[in-house]
Amino acid sequence: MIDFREKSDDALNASWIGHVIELQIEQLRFIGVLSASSGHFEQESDHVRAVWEITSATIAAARRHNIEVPRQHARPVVYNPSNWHNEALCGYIGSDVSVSLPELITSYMELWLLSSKLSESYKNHFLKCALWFTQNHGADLRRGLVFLLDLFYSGFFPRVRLFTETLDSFVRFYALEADLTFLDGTTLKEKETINQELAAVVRMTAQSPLNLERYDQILGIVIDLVLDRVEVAYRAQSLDEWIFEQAALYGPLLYLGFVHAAADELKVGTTNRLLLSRFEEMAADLGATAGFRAVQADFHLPPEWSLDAKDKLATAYQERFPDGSWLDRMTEDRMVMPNAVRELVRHASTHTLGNVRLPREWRLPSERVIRPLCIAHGRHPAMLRSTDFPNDLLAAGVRAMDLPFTPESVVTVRAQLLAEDSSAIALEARDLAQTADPALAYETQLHLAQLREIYPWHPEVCHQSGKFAQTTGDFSSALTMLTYSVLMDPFSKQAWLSMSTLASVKQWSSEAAAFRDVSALPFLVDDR
Amino acid sequence: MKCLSLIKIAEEAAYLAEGKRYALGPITTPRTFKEALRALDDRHRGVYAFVAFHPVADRLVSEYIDLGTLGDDAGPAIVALFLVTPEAPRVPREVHASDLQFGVTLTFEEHPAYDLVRFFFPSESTPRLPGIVFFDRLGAARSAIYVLLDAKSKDQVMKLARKAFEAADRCVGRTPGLDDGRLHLDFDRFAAQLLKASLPYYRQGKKGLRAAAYLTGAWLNKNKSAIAAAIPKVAGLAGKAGGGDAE
Repeated sequence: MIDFREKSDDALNASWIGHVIELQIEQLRFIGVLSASSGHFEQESDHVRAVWEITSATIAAARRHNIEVPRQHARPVVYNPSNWHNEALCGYIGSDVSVSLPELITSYMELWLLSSKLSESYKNHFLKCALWFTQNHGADLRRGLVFLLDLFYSGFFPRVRLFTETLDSFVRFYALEADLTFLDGTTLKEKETINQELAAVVRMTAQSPLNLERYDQILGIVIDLVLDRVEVAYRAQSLDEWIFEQAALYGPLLYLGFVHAAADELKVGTTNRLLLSRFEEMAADLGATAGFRAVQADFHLPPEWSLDAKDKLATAYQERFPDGSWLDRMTEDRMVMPNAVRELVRHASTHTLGNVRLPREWRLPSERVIRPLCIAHGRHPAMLRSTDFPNDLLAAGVRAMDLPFTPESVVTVRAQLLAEDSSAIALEARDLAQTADPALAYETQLHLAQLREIYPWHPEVCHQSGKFAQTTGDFSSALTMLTYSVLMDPFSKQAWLSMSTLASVKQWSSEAAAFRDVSALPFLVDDR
Repeated sequence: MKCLSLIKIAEEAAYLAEGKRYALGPITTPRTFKEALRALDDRHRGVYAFVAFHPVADRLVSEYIDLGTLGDDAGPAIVALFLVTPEAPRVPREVHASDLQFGVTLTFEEHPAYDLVRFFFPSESTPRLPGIVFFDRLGAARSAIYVLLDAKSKDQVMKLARKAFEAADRCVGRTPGLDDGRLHLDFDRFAAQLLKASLPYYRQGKKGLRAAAYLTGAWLNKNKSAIAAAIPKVAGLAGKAGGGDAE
């Protein structure tokens, strides 16, 4: 359930639309971070743009109707070329810069677009900002590196190589001991001078050797900060968090992996060197996770997470550590599961590890994260089931289509079944929700819940469930379902209209009007 | 400051040496702790420094470690080791004050940190504690120097430790005539530097070291799960001016 307080009409500040906007912005962050680890950003840029446009329109609608929109305190941001009113080039919202939501999301979108077309300019932009931030915070390298990592964790680098290269340049700049004092106290007005000076420093230092001792020190800061993040990942409390934290680590770990490859040449100190080796192993596990999700997408399989692929690894660990410590050894060496899951499977043997049925929050991603995850892997929420079709149904499909019995045929059949089933389910949900007979309310609710069990991320099923909940007077569920439905499919005109209707029923007139405005966007799909 | 179990550090070094970091390589190759230590010795470019203290009698030293600068003070060429309780973490994590209570109920005579110093310097004049033992190898040390940390406050402990580490750091380099592409601590120069910095130290001769090496092997094995290595945090590294602020 969405944590959303039931509100009264005079407390419109904590608005429903404000909450929707917060979740939309969270999605932008997820899209950036998850795309970086899947490497699928280019192909999905149209979808990304559309998500951004709807977010932008939602913010505009809220403002138009004088609904206060949430502030985004402590979020890192860098300037964008078209919508920026600060003298500072970048910083954290609240403490360094005062940035409105439209400015923030413009930074996301404009820079993302730049990332596809002009990757050099993109890197230079972020490098310049990170150096400027550092110089204007007492030349404190640690703070500068935290800022750059935070930008990655916030989704500003949808292509991971842009991040690793920016971070590498940043570290090298300081390891070259280049004089960057020209940045001190400058503002965006001096942008041209900054660019020129920076280019001059690049030219001057092109042939300079790195101060390796210093390089090792700066590397030590990166390692220390990444170790903190690794700890955060291990402490994940849900699959959503685990997915996000793994993706967030991918960029920094990939960078450290590159450094590892050159560690001898760079004369990296012993402790750092050994930690780099460890990080490289973790990066490999993260790569394997991303690969696993890519395979699920290619085979149209449920986006399920389980441990059954870890049998071999577990068995090897058990053979090596027969004293019963295999699970701890395996999880400390390898980034295969967070601590909470380790405790859930503590009593499993290596043979039963894959059979442990994890609870919902660990097995399946939530409605909040599913669309970004889909964008990162070229999928659509409506085409995702929680469990695969039964084998006999797939086999019958192969026979009916007269295909040879190969794995490819099964994939073809699965895709076709999904397409048919998904639209049939949407129609079924719509029919059900229109049931006006109060005597059937309980059955209808149950039936809709069953559909949602099989298609947990079907936006239309969610939308109809929300509408139905409203007719039964369950406003809290209605709010949650409708919110999820527009998060999973922001293009549904009907879903936004349903939000408007619910807001009217609750007599939140400004919000009703704002949602209606969003529903009138010309590029939405009218699927009546 | 974070720390990591010496066992883990040594195992990582062994993975690297064996070149089988991937997939199941690390665990399918069985190796003893001693073999892992040898891999670490081969891999390490520099020296080890064991900080010997009793958590109660030498409270100032544990307070110094709790300040979190030990890893930074030691620098990349020196792996700083100390005992933690109940076990050194097998995944890097922050050092807490409670970690530094190893052997809190033991007397000086019984405390393993004191034992180690006695192995290296067993003569009648066993040096006073606390202090730092610098030695070149975990496997079989060939040189060792003990620097006394005689201080009245934790800040003074830090000052003395930094001086000792800096002196050692200045003497780490390639050994002339020894073309193994590695860095070693020149203990003669180190001793001279300590003298210059007026830091009291003890130096062990070759004969004593052989005995010490024998005893430390057993000592390391017995205490291995409590030995932690400090991971540099690199706090307060400023932009242009070079790092390693001397005083």
